Amino acid sequence: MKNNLVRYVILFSIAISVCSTLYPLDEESFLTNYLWDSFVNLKPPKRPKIALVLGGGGARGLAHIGVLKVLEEEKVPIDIVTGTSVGALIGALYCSGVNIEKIENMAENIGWDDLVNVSGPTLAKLLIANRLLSSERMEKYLRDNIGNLRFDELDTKFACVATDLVTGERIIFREGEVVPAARASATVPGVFEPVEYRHRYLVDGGLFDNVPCDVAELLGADFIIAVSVSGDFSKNKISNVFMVLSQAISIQGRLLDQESLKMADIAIQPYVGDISSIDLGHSRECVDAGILAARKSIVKLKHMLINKTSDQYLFE
Amino acid sequence: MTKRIITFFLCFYITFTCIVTARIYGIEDTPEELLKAELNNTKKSGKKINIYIKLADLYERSREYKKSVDSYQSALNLKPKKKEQYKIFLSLGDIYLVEQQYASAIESYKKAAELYHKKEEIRLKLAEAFEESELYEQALEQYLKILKRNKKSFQGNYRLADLYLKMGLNTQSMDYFRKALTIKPLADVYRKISNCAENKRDIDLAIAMLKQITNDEKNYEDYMNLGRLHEIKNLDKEAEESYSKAIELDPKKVEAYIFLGILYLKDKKYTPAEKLLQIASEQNKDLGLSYFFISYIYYRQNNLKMALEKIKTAKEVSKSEVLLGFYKRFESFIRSQ
Repeated sequence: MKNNLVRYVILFSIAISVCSTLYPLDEESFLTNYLWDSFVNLKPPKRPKIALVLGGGGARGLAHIGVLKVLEEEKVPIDIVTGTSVGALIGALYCSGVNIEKIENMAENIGWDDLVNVSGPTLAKLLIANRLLSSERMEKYLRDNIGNLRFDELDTKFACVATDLVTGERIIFREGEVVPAARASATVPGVFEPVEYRHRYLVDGGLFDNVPCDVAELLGADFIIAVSVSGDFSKNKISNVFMVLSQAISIQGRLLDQESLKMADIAIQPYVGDISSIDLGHSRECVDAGILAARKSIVKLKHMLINKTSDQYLFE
Repeated sequence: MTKRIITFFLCFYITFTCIVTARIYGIEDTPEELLKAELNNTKKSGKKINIYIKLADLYERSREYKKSVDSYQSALNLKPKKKEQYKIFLSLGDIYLVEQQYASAIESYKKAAELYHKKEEIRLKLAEAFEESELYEQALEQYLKILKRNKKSFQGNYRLADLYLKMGLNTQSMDYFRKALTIKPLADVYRKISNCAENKRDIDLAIAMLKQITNDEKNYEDYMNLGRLHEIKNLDKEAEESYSKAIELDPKKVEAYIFLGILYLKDKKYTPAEKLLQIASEQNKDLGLSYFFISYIYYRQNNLKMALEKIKTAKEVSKSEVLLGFYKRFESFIRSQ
């Protein structure tokens, strides 16, 4: 009920925002939108290069879809995307040109069996015989949508982050095939088998860098929009091995997030704290939470970007 | 004999004058007092119930809601008949709704609904109370119950569509508004469908719906919305026509001058743009926007002195820090030229 109410409030506020500048005339919104129309027609270097950083968080990361929807609706130009874990998956789909409506549909229909073999025997092997799950299904799922695209073939510049399980190094993927990179970034340690790639054993980038803002800077971003989907791990019900590992990652990730977010110009934090990182059944609530959080930040974002643009280009 | 006749007429005249004077100056029993007197004089509970209801009604009309509620409660204590009970619960619900006591409103309406659950009127009232308290799912339920009994209920279809629109469910909203349209093709329904269509980014449909009503009804807001939609589609000529029509309909409203002025500005038609924005600034001297855009026009025409003058005025009337920030930026930009 509460989640439905959140959804209704979100979508109601979207509806009124469409006409909010008209009656009575809201001068601030009107002028912001007028200058924004000038802004969106500019290309770098006449305007700042904008990066969108999508943080890890398991199923909560579906909120990124809501954020992307709002940014698209408001014509926020995105020049660079970086992501970790679920952020890498969604970022990879988005940057390869999969449209946001399709990504949203995928989120509504996705189940764990699309990403991993969750049959009884396989799970039993995980729990009893410590046989990790394979993420090959995840790779197939991504390939069905992205194909064999390479990083340099993407519509939007993209990078994602994984962790070398042996050396503890952060590995930034900026070249080569996108699908294995995104898969590696989303390989939860202790659940999935590490992805073997160029003699490295790679797992979830969230161990090291859950919200890769510095990677965005590395790629040349002048303005960073970070989306953090950390959970309120204090509310998690820890009842099995998966949850223990997930909780461990959440705690660590949260601490790292706070440091990374300091590098962002604006942080969007959808309220998804109540949702478990392994529960894919709340996709609608996650997307709506993303929409709500983005809507709350959009005016501030526009002002910041307008203010970061030279008068010469804005007023010409 | 003559004396007696004169005395009689004198007494009659005095009495008549007293009565008339009393009536003129209100020196008579008020309806409330009359009803209360009647209440005291009657012993039949049926009649008492009627009087309490009339009293409650009287208090309600004069917005003495507490007294109204008390009267209705007194009527209820006398165990009125089913029809009277229904009227009482309905009226109580209405009062609580006005007073924003939504929980009480819902409770009263529910009691009325228990008595006559098939009546559409009470379902609509209950739905309204649920909507006001943001219990949208319960509101939905009521509308669906209405439509289950009567698919052709205009209010049922319209209000359900409106609720879906509020909830952002544009597809469902559109479906029910379309049904409402087939029952009663009112202008407001066309507007709502236009709104849904715009939310779904179907601008062509949004425009088509508004055009249906602007042929018959001349409404300022409709023309403004039409203008805005035409602009989204880059149909500047049509947008111009719509804004011009809006100005014709209400020359005192400022929005159309601003929108049309900016449309001309985008097309670099500086003279008509300036003229319209000047009118806007005369209509509303506190509208910084008009001075800003006039300043911008002067800047584009290389008249920096006038541009500075106008932006100074914009700053003076500016109502917010954000606007002031933009105006100051533009001012320093002009100075740097």
